Amino acid sequence: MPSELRMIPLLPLLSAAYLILFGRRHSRESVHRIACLAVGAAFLVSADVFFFWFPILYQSNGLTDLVGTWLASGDLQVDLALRMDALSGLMCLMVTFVGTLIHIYSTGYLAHEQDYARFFAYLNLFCGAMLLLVLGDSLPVMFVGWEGVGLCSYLLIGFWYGEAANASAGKKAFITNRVGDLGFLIGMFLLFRAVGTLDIPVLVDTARAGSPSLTAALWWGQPVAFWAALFLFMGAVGKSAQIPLYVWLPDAMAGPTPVSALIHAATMVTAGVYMVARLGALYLLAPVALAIVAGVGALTALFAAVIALGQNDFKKVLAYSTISQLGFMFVGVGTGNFAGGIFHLFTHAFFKAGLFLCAGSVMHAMAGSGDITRMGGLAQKLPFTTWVFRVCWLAICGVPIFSGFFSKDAIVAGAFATEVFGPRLHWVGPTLGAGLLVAALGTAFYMSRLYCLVFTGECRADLDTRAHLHESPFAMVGPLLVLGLGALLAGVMGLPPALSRSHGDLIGRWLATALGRQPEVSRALQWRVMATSALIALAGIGLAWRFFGGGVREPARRFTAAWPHFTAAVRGKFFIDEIYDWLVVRPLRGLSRVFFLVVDRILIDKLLVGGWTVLVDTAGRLLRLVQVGDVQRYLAIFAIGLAALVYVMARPVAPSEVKVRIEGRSATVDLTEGKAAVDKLEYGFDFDGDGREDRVGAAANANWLYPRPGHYQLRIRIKDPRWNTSRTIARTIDIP
Amino acid sequence: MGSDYIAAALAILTGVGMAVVFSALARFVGERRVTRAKQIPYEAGSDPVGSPRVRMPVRFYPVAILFLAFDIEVAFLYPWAVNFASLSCAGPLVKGTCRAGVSWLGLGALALFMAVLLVALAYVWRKRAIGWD
Amino acid sequence: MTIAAAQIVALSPLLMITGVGCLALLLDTMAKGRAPALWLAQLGCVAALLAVANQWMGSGSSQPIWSGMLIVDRMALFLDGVLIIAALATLLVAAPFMREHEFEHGEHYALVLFATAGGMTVVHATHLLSLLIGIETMSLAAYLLVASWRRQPAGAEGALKYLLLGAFAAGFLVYGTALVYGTTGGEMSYAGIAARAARAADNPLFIMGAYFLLTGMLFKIAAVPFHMWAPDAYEGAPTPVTGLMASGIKVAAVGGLVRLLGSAFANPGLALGHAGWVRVLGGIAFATMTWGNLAALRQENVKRMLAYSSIAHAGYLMIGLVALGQKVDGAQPALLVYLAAYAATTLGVFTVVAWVGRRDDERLLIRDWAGMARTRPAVALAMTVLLLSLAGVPPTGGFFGKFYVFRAAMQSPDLAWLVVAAVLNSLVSVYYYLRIVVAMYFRDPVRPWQPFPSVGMAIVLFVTVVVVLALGVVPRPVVELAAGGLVTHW
Repeated sequence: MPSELRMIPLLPLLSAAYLILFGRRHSRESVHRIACLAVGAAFLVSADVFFFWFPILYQSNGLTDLVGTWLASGDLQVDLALRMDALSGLMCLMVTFVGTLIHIYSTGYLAHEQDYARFFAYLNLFCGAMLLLVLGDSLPVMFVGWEGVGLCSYLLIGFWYGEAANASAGKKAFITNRVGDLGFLIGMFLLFRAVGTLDIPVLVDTARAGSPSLTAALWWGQPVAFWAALFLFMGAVGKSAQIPLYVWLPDAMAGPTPVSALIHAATMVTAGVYMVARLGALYLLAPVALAIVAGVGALTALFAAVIALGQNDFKKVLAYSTISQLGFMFVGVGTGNFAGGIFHLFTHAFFKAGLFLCAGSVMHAMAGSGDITRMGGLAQKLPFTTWVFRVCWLAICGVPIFSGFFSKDAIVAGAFATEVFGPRLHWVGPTLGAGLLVAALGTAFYMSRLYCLVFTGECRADLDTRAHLHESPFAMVGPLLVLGLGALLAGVMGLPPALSRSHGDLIGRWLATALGRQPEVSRALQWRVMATSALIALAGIGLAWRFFGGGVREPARRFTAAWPHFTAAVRGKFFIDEIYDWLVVRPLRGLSRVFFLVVDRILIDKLLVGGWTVLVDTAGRLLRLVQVGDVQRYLAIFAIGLAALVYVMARPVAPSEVKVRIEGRSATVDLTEGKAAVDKLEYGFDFDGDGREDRVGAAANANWLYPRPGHYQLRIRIKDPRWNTSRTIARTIDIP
Repeated sequence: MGSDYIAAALAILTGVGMAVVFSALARFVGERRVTRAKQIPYEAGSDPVGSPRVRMPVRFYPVAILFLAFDIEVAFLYPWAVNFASLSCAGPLVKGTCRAGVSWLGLGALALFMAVLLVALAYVWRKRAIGWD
Repeated sequence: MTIAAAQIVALSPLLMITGVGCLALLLDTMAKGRAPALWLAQLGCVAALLAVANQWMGSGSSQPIWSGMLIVDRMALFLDGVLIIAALATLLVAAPFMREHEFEHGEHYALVLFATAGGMTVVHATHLLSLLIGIETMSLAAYLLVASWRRQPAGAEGALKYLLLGAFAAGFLVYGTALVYGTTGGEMSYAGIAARAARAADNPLFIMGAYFLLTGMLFKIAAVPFHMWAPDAYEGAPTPVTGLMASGIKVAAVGGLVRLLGSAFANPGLALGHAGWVRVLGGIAFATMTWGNLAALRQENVKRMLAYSSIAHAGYLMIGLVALGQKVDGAQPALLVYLAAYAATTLGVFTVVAWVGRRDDERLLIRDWAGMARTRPAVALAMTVLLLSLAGVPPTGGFFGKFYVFRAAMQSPDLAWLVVAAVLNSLVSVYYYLRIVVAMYFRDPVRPWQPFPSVGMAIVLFVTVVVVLALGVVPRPVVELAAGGLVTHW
């Protein structure tokens, strides 16, 4: 069994550890050699395992590498195990391949960076964590990777932490994700409570079998599966930047561009989609949850596409585009079309990483500025970059032949054909499909706008910048070309059956075992969707050309003048950040101020800390009196302590229960219930409080007839004659 | 009964005989020089008459302490000697005789004990704690 | 009585340590310089460790030695391992320390081994006489070690106090032995005492004897009110010796107590007095941890603070002991895990304390540690990890040790209050541990920093930190070891 599976995440992790510890001692060359080799080797190992074991991989549950038992506490047993099946294998290949390319690209992009080793250490750490997320065989292991990539995202967004904006963008990403992670954790707890394990294969099998442990109603008549799926999806919403938690992703563009390409476009942000696909069987048990997933996806796809129309920062446009495309993927997995979602994830990784790297290349040439209103006509200066951008642009627009066309159509067609929602929610699928077509139109439009403003027409940059325009070094262009090729050809992996007589859909066939039943799409529907979406893509591109071809044209200006409020709202991203600020951030800040004043200042500073010091001071002074240093006193304390010990030990213990029963004037006292462990004690009872013991003997009970009613003092003396020690207890007795 | 007396007599004879033999050997073999120090009652060299509060060389103390330590350790040999028979028998003693095989525990334990003493002696010797200078 | 080769083999770790101690003593008188004795002692430790491992692999069953004077079982072997590793670490740290402070004696190395041999005898003992011999062997060596830094008057003072009080405590141990012997009709082996205890329990003299025995042992782990010697002896002793006292000697004494409470007085009906030893020991545990922590709060001297910290830890350990006496499942392995984690942490901490001081400048005050993080970030980080482990913060071994002991104790309803008190105490202790961390990280250095380099210390520090972290992250292997068998799944 391939225990080399553990090498895949381990290689980048080791390299990261090494670079963090010793990176500063190495030259730039050795730093990036180590970093690139680690990821490259991880890619080779994944490719080796994947293709060598391919026949087994895609027909079975995959291969497991059990490293050891990680946690064992009560019923919870979590193995540190990695699993490669067709799905995780494909992800693994994609992550390591794109990761390697971006590592190489970074060597050129950050050639002038001071903190070279730190950057590559984080990047390696990210790859390791992402691979752990992908390969983890149980939810806790996956969660470690999940948190790990979040951490790296935070570290890399704030990589240039000198500027406050970058640091706070990192914090924003981290905190927003934390909200989602809470959901992930709750989902995990729910699953553990219901199924008793967190191993993904066991969970999937349980879900496929429709086990009653998952279908039993939990809250509000909805089954466990629904709530678990919903809470897990909350994690996905955070990580994959969906409504309402998408706000961190545009800010995350503050990080270096290779980071945006790798983490915030190709890999980490797709983790949510991957997780839903991985636990697809669970989601299929809860159609309502699926509808929510798909609905949120479609809404995000539309909403982000609209916002992207009005952005003037190169990377911001791409960021909203990523959010929108992730929405597409969620519609894919949310309509039960897991293979479609993963297929789009796969092609998106290529063309979006390519687009980001082009952005990096352009900004590299423009001295770091990403303002597209100051660009234009860059096609002549940056020929390679432009060609790669063109390919990726056509791919994302969904122009036929290019990869995005096939994957997007797979999702749209799947949405029209899906039956997972059942008869009552049957209308959901086609609605979502239609929504996606509108979003696709928006996509084609804003991407073409971006292309026109950056690469066509006259250059609007100042003279100084214009003089320095240059194509990037080979380390940057090389990976670009590879990604461009991928963006062009990756669609071959999933040709729709209508075009290829059902043999071309490689991805669909590979993932069939891992993902289970997929919606059946009729050929007629496929043809119809393909034709419509091709038309929509061309329409979007054409429209954008009319508005922005060669610079901002007259129709665009007229539109802005006619719809001033709409344009302002789009430019302001619908003011979601401001709304969150008012709804969440400010109330929290106010609350924290109240807490600070009341709890911290008064309760802790005054009472707790002040009280503590007094207590500690007194105790310290007392103890110091004792520990003065002379041996005589030490010996005395020894002896006194021992004497106290003997006294405590030898004195009879107060019985836990003294029973007094009064009948008329007669009172019965009984100590036998709570008698001390040792017998052979003497008991003396003084019933009337006159100092004389009325009953004496070995019996632990006695009774007494009072001459007249009244209020009496009862004293019981318990004596141990062997030690000659005694204890007296007192009670009062009322004789009516 | 009679055999016990014979053993006792033998022991006394051996003891006295050894003393005589060694004294005689010392007298005939050794060289003798009569000095004042050798004629005084306390061979350790101190004057029997005079103030007891004299300053003694500190070197006396290590010797005295070592003497005590080894002396007391030798005292441990008595209980060992008393139990030697039972320690040397692989089984329990039956009426004072051993029916089972020989056990080396007794001898082994003593050998170990003596070895430890020897280590201490060697240490003391090498540290020159028993020499005068 | 016979002596079988198998018994000698079973005892080989103990015999090796004793023998190598003797040889090192001799070798030192004959060889030139101190190095040969040191190397011999270290080699002896390694060989004894191998012997322990060999015994561990060999047989799982326990084996009585010499008519029940000693026993070789999994617990004894586990503690043997801890003790020998503590000795090895002490040797590694003591050599450069003594060289730096110019008081290197070869006897020092032999004495470390003798103390360890005594400790091993204690954890193997199943007879009051062998317990006494072990305790005294260990203690005598310790008295000498404390006094070994002759130029340091505080060392002589601490050693004298330790000796006088130790003799007093040993008196109780012997007196207790005599009382138990007399009242049980001539029993000194633990099994014999356990068999006769039920009948003897009515006799006050038996109960007094039992408490005297416990007193003698509690003195060794520095439990309140028998702890008074500890701060002075810990502070006065050369720092590596302090490390050995806080780790090895405490481990051995706790091991001896585990045997006493776990077998000699293990009869569940045996209350020992009216309050019962559960309550008495519980009270002592509470007093010990509280006293230790409160006294540590105000200390300015790092060594003295750590001495009180070690007293506080004796209190936590006693919770495990009481749980063990209550027959709680898993109390014994929990104690062993705690001991292993605590020993590793303590050795590491005292290594750092030994490392910071130069000749005639020991830098023992907390303010002397100011700014260490800036000049020596790695050591400051290591010290922080170790202090967090002492405070019981995850993910360190100290956390898991406490966690297991407390969890075991929680199973007994009588001990819940004690666990709550212990958790509160741990919280208090964080304060004074963090004082050192604060000084290292947030204060400006007062004086230039010139620690001396030593490979031995670096090794000990590295290993202890790794062990402490490993115990905190993957405690399973050690837990399994402590539970008596290592399942091989690696």
